[in-house]
Order: sequence, then C-alpha cells, then structure tokens
Amino acid sequence: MAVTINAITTHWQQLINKIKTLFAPQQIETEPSDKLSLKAIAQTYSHHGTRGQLKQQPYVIHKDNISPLLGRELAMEQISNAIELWRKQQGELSAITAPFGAGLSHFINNIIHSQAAAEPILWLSFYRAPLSTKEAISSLFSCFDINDDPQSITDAISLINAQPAKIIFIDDMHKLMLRRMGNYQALVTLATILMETRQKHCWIMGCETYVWQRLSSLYQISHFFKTVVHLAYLNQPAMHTLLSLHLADLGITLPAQSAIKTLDDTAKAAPLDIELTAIEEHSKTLVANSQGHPKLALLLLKRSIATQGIKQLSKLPSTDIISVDTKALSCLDEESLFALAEIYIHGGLTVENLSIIFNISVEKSSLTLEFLSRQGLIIPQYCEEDFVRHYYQITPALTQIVAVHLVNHNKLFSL
Amino acid sequence: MESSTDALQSLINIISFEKMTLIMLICGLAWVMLIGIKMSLDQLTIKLPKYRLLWGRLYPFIRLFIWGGVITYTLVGIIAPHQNVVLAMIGSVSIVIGLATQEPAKNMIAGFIIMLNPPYRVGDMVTLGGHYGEVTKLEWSVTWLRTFDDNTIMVPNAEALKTAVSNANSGALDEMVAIQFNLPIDVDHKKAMALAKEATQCSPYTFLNKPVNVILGTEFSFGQHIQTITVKAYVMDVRLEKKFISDINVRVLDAFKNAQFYDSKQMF
Repeated sequence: MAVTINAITTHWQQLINKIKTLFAPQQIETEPSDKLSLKAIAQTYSHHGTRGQLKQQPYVIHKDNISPLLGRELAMEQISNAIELWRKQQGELSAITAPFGAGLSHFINNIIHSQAAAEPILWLSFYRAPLSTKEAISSLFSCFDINDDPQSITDAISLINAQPAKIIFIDDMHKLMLRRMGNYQALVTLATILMETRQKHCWIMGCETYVWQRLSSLYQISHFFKTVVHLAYLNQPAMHTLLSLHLADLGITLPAQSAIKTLDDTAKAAPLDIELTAIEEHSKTLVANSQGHPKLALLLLKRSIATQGIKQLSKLPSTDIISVDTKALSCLDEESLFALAEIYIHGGLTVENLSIIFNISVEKSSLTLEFLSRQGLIIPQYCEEDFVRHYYQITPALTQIVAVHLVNHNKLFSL
Repeated sequence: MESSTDALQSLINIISFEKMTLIMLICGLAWVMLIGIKMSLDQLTIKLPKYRLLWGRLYPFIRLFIWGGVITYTLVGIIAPHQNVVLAMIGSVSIVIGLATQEPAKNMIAGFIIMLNPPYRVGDMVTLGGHYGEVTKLEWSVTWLRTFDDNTIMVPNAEALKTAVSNANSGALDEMVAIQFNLPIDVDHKKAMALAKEATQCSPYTFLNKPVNVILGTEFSFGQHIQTITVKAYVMDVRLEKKFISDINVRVLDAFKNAQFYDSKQMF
C-alpha cells in the first residue's frame, strides 16, 4: 500500500484547514465608507471636554435671528392658549415633552419670542436634582432670586405667591429626577409648591419623553398638568424644510431661479428643479438614516458632502448618503445597557451618581462610564478636581438611536 | 377478497423506492426549513430581546404546523392509501391511543394538550415537578427548564397535567417578586414602609410601569412581637429575579440601618 495512514491524516488536516480558511471571518476589519461609526460621531463633540462650574443660570433668550419652527404649529397654539388662560386667572401647570434633540429648547425660545412682554419671562435649567424638601424649595427660590433659607413648605408657598407674576419655563425637568433616596420627597414638595402657586405664576415645564413616562408611572405626574404638549422628531416635510434652511451651512448654493428664467424658461429652469428634487430625495433618506433626528441628519449630510467633495446636492445620489454604524451598540453587555439607560433617563450622570444608582464602587462606575465613552455612546466632561465628578451624557446626535436600542432591549419603557 | 388484494397491493406500493425517496426528501426539506426558522428566530431574539418570549413561543407552533403539513401531504398526496388501508390505520391509531397510558405516549399527548392550551410558554418562569426555572424548550414529550443554578432540567409533559403548575410571569417579561423584612415592633412602621417603597423604586431593575406595594404585618416569633414589611414589586426581566431580590435587600437594609431601625442588640 503506497498510501499510509499518516498521509491520509495529513491530507485530511489540509482539507479541514482549507475549509476553515474559507469560512473564517476576515481578520482585518475595515470600517465601511458608507457608514459613520458612533465614535466618529462622538468626536465631533470634543469641545464638551472640560466641565465648568455648575450654576443654576437662566438661558439666553435669542430674540433676534430666530429660526422658524418646523411642524410645531399646533403645539405652539396649545402653549399659547395655556398662557392666555393663566392671564385670565385660570392658570394650570403645562408641560412640553420631547425626546432629546427634537428641539425643545428651540421651541421654548420661539414661544418666548411670540409672547408680548406683559410679564417677565424666565427660562432656566435645573442643573441638580433635589434630594430633600429643603433643596427642592431652594431650587424654586432661585427662580425668584430669594436668598432666604426655606423654613417650611407653607412659608415657601406664601413667599413665592408674594413675588411679582412671572412666566417660568423650566427647560429640563428630567434633571429634577434622580434615582436616589430622598428624591421622592423632594419631588412631592416641588409638585405641591408648583400646584399651590400656579395661579400666580405660569409654570411651563420641558421634559424628555421617556422621563415623562417614568414620572407618570411613578408619581402620576400627568394628573397635575392640564396642558401636555408632545413634540416628536422631524417628519419628512419638516426635514425637507430643515435642509433648505441649512443649505448655506452645508456649503451648497442653489441656482437662482429668476436669472435662469429670463434666459430660457423651459430649458434652463431645470437646474433649480433638479436641486429641489435632490433635497426632497435626500430628506427622505435622511429621515430613514437619522430616524428624524435633526442634528444627526445634518451631520450625516455634511459628512456625505465632504466625502464626495461636491457643491451641488444633485451630484450626491441618495444611496451615497452615509448611515450610522451601530455595531458598537450591539456589542454592549447587560450591565452596560442598564448604565446607558440610566444615563439616558437622567440626561447625564456623574461617576458618583452611577455608583450610587447601581450600588457599585466609584472605581467600577468610572470604568463603566469610560468604556461607554470609548464606544462613542456618551461624551465626557472631566472635572479637574475630582474624578467622581466627571460628568457623562449621551452623545447628542445619537440620542434617538440609543433610545430605540434600549427600548428594543427592554431597558427603557413606554406606557 | 379482491379488495383485500388491492389493499395489500397499495400497501406494497407505499414502500416503493420512489415514494420512500420522495417522503424522505420532503422530511429533509421540512427539517432544513425548521433549522432555518430556528436560526432566524434566534437572530430576532438577539436583535429584539424585548420580544424574545414571542419568538420563543412561536417555534413550537411553527414546528407543529410544518410537521402536520408534511404528514398530511405525505398521507394524502404521496401515499394516497386504499380505503382499507385507511381503516387499518384508524385501527392502529386506536391501538396507539389505547397505549396512551404508556409513559411516552402519555407525555406526547400531554405535550399536544400543552401546545393547544398552554399553562406555560417558552420564556416563562415556572415551578414544574418541584423545580423552579425558565422554560427554555417545549418539545412533544418533555419540557426543558433552566434553573438559577444554571442546571438544565427535563420534565415529562405528563407532569404538567398531573400536578399544579405555578407560573410567575404568564407570558410577560416582567414578574412580581415579594421580599419580606422583619423589624422590631417599636420601629416607626410608617417610616419603614415609606423607606422600603422608595428604596425599591431606586433599584435600576425595578419595572416602574407597575406599582410597588408595601404590606405591613405583625408576627409573634421566639417570644417577641415583630413587624413584617413585605415589598411586592415587579422586576424588569424574569432573568434578573435573583439579582433584583439581592439589590432590594441591600437597598432596603441600608435604608433601615441609616434610619437606625436595628438597635445595637440586633446588629450583633
């Protein structure tokens, strides 16, 4: 026998190796050019790097050069009606709920702009969740520049009702909620004061949609608000308008209609029409790729234009618009997903807060947050004095993608 | 006599090479199809874990329909048995039913009844045959459970019909968990209840869409009156049950200790 057992074994091994090579995944993974990684998106927010001194400061109200609202006419009318009712001594609490990045602040700015300056308007953000009755009263006192130490809830209500009437917008009500002991009583105090002062002051609260749902489940908060306006991400017509408004920022100039028409009405009107059709097509693709998130849509389009090096949108096929590579999200384990859900719902967390919420050491908490930051899912604001005060928030352009992933993985809930 | 000969002839025809090959081919195709469906459902479970119970409970039905379809087509379309053969088969089936008192047949029939009128589904947390765990597979004759000790347990389906079955979540991902705490009778019970409720709400594993209830009771144990605080809350996912219980224990005990509910005598 010329064929030995050893020879057969060798041939068999070679065959197995060949099959293994055929089916083995590619060792060198290259990032697909038609996709933008989460890390690359997070890198566009590098300016968030250092954490400054946290203060409860009023927002700057932009009265000039205000950009128009996109598809928010009904919501605007509802809030204006609520303010009018308050002026007629029928004041009730109002809330505006919107997912992160859907343009809540922009909406509030537009409401303020639309109101006649009959009463002082205050627009502020709570930077810290109260953990006791005293802290809750202090937070509300700061809206009226009251520096007294709160004695009791009754005194606080009297003092606030004695102040001149104000329209007060609280932009990020979600920051009032914290999954820590003491927060429940603080929120109850806060809600009581708001209810008791609603005739004197017009309180309009802005809140993230999922946080609103959580607060509704926990404290039935929706029972106390008469007007609740829900804002959603942009639909296709709104996205179309957004693109049209940002063409200059994207470095795109449309051909002038009038100049072309004078030359030849039929033949030369085409370039503008072609560009408008391209905007229409791109808006559809961007709604699909960004799930209606305006910041992400603009980022994707900007990157696509830069990659292709074009000056006209018609030169960019809709199929070449970059989409988001969410592979990093799929690789997260259970604990990271839970951490991400809490960061999302709180609008951002410090190392210390995460360690308290999950009953883990600050070191473990810091490592978890750094890991998520490395994936591009959250962006850090480092505190030079103490690492436990490093603050992490969801990358603004990725909020919708993260929320959908968390809902699908049973970490965020809707009612 | 003639009909008997015809029946015998058709019986011989059944085991002809072509028919057997065709039947095996169809069975092979059904098997491949089921593997494909199982792989797709597994992928869906990875992509959309929120609906993993739905994907899990779909498979037994799909398998039932596919094999039912294969059997029907094989009998009617390929074998097309003679009337007498049908009668003979009915006789055979009657014998099988007669033998159903035998364990395997009993388990298979129980499996069929479970599929039609399920006391539990894939993904449910059940106590079955004295074992508590998640239903991972529902087969014709047996049900597979995975316990929290990571043991895989096979329970005959007949057991599910014979004894009481306790189902903790009945097709939902969330599940109610009851955790009891004992406190000295002189402790401020209203404060204790408020602390227990808030501590439970602070757990990241608590399903907040459903209520957290705290129930107060009293007991007389070892010659002393004690008060019992029972927290009834829902965990987000049945798989996190033990983790949730531990987390609630840590949080509530921390809260009770901070409130100095346990005096030095009880701490040691």
